[in-house]
Amino acid sequence: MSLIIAEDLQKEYNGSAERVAALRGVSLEIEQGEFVAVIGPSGSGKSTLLSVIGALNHPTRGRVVVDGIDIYALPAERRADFRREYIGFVFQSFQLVPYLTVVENVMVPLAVSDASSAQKKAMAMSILESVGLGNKSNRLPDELSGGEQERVAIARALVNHPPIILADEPTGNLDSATGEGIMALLLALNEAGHTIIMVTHNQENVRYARRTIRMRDGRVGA
Amino acid sequence: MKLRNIAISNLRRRKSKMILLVLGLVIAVSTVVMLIVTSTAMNADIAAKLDEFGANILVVPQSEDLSLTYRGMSVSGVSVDVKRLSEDDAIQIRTIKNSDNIKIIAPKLIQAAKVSRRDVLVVGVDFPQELQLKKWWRILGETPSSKNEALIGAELREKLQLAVGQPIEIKGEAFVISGVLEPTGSQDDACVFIDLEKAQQLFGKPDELSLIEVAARCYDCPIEEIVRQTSEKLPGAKVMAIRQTIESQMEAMHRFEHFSYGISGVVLLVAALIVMTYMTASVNERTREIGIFRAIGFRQSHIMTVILTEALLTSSLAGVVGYFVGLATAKLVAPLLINDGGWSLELNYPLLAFSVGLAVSVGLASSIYPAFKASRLDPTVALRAL
Repeated sequence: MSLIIAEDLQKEYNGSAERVAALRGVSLEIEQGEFVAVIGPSGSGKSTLLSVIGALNHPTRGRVVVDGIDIYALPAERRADFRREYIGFVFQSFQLVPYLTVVENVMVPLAVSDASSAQKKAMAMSILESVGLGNKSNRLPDELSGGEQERVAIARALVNHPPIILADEPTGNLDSATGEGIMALLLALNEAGHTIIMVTHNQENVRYARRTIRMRDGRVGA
Repeated sequence: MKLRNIAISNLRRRKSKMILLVLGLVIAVSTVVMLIVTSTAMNADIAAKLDEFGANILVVPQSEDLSLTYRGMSVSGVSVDVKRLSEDDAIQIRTIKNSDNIKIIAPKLIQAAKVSRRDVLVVGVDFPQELQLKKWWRILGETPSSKNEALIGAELREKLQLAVGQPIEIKGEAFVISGVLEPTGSQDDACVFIDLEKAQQLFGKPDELSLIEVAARCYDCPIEEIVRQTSEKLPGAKVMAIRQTIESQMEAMHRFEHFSYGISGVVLLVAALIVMTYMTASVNERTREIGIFRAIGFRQSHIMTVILTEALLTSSLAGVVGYFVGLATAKLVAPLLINDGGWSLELNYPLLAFSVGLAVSVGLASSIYPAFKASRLDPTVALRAL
């Protein structure tokens, strides 16, 4: 069975004047270990699709089954637990917590776990080492370059060892050389077994993915 | 890294705003502490004054004929006793429900007798109790320590030309004047005071009492209630309350207490609004951050925990600081309300615990709504990145 099954996803937002349909019946399956790029023009619904798959955004209709779990059938608090266990989000504008140090940012997903502080720190440090930031663990986010901040965001997404990584425009705020570094990192993670779904505008990034899903007007196109 | 670390880090980042929040709570808590400390001191002051005023309850036998008076109160005469008071009655007073309020019981036997050919009131008293009751007594010489020593009033000393150390004769028995009272302006000035047991023996009235003076601490209970309870215990006696100026002070005290409740209520309400405003602003500023936490997998209850932990930490700090500020303020304010300096400003742990508890209750109660609001933020809206 596929790791992720989305069935007839529809999502409508209440706009100021009328209801806006962001997803108009999207069905897709993603296998364990895939690296999928979702592309399409602005407003095509690709970010909405990512948030719906990521258990963050309740669809108006349809369902998402991940690893056999119908995630929107779960109560809200259990859905939060599901996100923590299954999903690592990497956001376009990094979304680091500005008053926490690099290592603390990476530890945030562990804040609600029962592990000891020392264990948590060891986990965060080992992830930071793997993204090449072991020596900057005590800096604050705004003391880092954009590429470094993105790597902290990736480290944070990885610290719980989630099987699925959802990346929204991971290179959107980076220059092309730094962006390539981030894409190489994502590729390495995919090779290590993580399933990756990446929303991107950047055609350059698409070549890292094994499959491309094109979206237009809230539907999956050809 | 625990949820509380996130709360602490956020407070550290927003230090100046946090200090304002703490300050708001400190003002409220310190005002309440100051009012409590001051009114407690006022109560103690009134209690101390009660002692100085002596007896406030008088117990006399039920009598029909009135022949002699003492302290402006009728006392049964030598020959017309209807019912008698006994030493046992004095003991009975200790058994009333509000016996904790009874401070002094001073029994007396009062008889008229000839001293140096003049009619004089001879008062048999229990000297230790009497001296405790009449703190205003100033004695030249010594308090009688043996059964054949007497204490005489200033007026009597003048009229009979007596002096300390001189012998006098009462009912044919010899006494030595061990001390003389300085003028008191009361009937005591014209009396001879001797040991109660000796007087009972001298007048052939073993166990008998003419009256019992009682000092009850009544700043926190109605004196009428103690009078009623005593009357129930002593059906053969007449129990009366002596109205004193202390009552007006007690009334002023009660008015001050009501005023304190009002002020406390207002400052606590203002503090609650300050906390709520701060917390709501804090949540609004952190919308994006809360979105991150939700996306990462924090439950709604985790978000509430972070926000309420911040409220708990700041308000605990405010409770401790407020306690000390309140104490210091009381030290400045109390002397304006109390002339007696006989109260202390020692560290009072229950009050410290109370002020922390008060601050925490106000802090948490007014943070619940902002915390709830934060926990219900839609993460996709909060992030605007997905």
